[in-house]
Amino acid sequence: MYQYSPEDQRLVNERVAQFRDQTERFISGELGEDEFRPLRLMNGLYIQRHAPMLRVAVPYGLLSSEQMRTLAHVSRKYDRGYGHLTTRQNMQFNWLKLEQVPDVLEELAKVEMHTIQTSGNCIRNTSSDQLAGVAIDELEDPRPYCEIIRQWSTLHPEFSFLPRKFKIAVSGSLNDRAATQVHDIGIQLVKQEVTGEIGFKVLVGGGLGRTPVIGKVIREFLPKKYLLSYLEAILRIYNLAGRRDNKYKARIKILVNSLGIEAFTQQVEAEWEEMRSGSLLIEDRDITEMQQHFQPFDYAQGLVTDVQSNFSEKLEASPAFAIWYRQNTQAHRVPGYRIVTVSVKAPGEAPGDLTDRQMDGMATLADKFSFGQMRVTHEQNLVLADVAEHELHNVWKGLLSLDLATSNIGTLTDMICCPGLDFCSLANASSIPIAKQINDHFDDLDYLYDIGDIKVKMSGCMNACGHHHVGHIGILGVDKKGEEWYQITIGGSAEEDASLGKIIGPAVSKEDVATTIATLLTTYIGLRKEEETFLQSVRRVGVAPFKEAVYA
Amino acid sequence: MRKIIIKDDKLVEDKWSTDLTDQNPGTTESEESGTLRVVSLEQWKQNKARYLSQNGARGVALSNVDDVLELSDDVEFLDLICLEFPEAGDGRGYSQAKLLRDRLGYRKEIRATGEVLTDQLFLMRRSGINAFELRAGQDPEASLKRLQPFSVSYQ
Repeated sequence: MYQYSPEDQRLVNERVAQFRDQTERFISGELGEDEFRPLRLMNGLYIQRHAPMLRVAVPYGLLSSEQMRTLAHVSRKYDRGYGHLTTRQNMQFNWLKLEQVPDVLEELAKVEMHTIQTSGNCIRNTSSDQLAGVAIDELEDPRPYCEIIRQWSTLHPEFSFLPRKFKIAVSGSLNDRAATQVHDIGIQLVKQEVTGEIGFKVLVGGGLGRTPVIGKVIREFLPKKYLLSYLEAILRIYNLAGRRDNKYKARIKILVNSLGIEAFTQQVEAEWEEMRSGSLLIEDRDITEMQQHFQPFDYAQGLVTDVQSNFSEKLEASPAFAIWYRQNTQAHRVPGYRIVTVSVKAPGEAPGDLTDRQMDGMATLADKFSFGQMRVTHEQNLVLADVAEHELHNVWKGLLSLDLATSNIGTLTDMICCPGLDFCSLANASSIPIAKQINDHFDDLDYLYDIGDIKVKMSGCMNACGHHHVGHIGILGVDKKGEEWYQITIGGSAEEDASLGKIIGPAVSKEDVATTIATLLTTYIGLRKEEETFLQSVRRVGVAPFKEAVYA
Repeated sequence: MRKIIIKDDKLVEDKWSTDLTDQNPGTTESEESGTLRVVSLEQWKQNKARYLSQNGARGVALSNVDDVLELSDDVEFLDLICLEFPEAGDGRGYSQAKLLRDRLGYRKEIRATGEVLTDQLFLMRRSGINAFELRAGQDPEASLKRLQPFSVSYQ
């Protein structure tokens, strides 16, 4: 993974000193709340319901075991012994003391971590495919480009006060696991048919929130050397022309929609034409150098033949292990290795919450079995990306002891869920108790396996942190005269076949969410054809049969 | 007494009046006080020939919705361009500064006016702004001290 140069480290250290100075001036009264607010937001610090919330950047979701241990330490020493994984692949802490935040930043800086631009109207953490570098369907590893974008966007003087927040995702695979179509800018690595050259397809103006929009293609093919100049051209047009009179109309998607993608593209291309050959040009050697940080590990060869028989025995001996193997692991590019998705969705726990013990335990497992690294997924799970097949049983046992071995990846209870009313001051309704209600209702794993692949995504308000618009089943918490109600959508997707879910009808009451989902699933089972997934069925038959069943 | 601004990383007495409401648009220089005056982009465009026929320094104050590229042919005649920051969170001026420096090759004074706050100066400075008229209540000495919190940058 990327290792800081002395300059990278100096910048992060100086950022800690700067924020310590700002915090001290706020506490002493020299800086007023209005002046301090944007400064703390630029550094990932929100004032929430109970206490300040600090969001730590995990660039494109990649974590070393040492970094995970520091997160565990921070949660123990400064918080209440847990952290929460977010849909931007970050980790946030909910119970910090403001005066201790500079010390937390100092601890993070020691392991090359920071909270820069994890909130505020600036370019946020660039997110990516959690399977980058190991996925079998990958054209090229997107992480070197994510890191190039991370550096370019860090403390970018021109783009620190944009009309609104700005999110970029990069994917290098045919299957889009980075939700690039619902980002302000989505970047997909593609191969040009005629020349075979690999470059980028660039999408713009996607996003969720109050106005969900699927991104539009602004450039079918961008040679790699122009990545930053093209991004800069888009950002400049947006910075100058984006709306600032209404924060709900300020995202780039609104600008793109009001101008139309053709006119917006023309403006960007004209701006780009002026500066594309300037200082932002990326040389081949810059890319090669960055790629050196993301080289494949020193994988053992010939593992398959050595251990195959032994491994089959273990699968047969333990049905629970076999189910976990089927549900939570997948093929790796290198024979003899598997990718393990670690479920942070145990029944009864808040989705995406990790205790300090689990964080330390994950660090140990990563060190022992996965080259000392792990990834955070935007679906709020963890990934051990490089586990030798013959070690899977040990990994599983380790995860069992950490309560991280729930065999529910890709199933109904592998939900995306925002912190909701329990923590967030924006929320209209709770999310975590609904996740618990769904878990209690659907406690029969065999039933969940029969339902198959389904993505449930839940947000406690229309800001859509839980990506409900793109859930196969989406759940949105709304406030009706002081009561919590839930609007259900079906048919959304954040992947290569991205689509926005459709509302099935009036919101349902809090106690009826799980039973409503049960009705949707029963309806699906009744009408599905052969191997058809829930999403495929909805797409084939439309919303009507589901609506009828729910509101009958 | 003239006001103190930060210019080229030093505290200096200001010789300009940048308040567009406080002036006679007929001239860019007030003879009686020796204070230099800026004009709006609109005034500049309308009276450009006259301004160019006068000796002395010339300054234009842009609002944050003005298109700086309208000054494409004029930057060589200007000694000061003011960029207005009506709110600290409104970042259009950063792009305007960048375009003035990089696209139009303007090398003289670019000054931030309006909501110009201590903790944003380093970003303004790095976008090409070299003079700062601080908002009331911002301490010039303390601001000067915080002008360069970073010794490295990626851009």
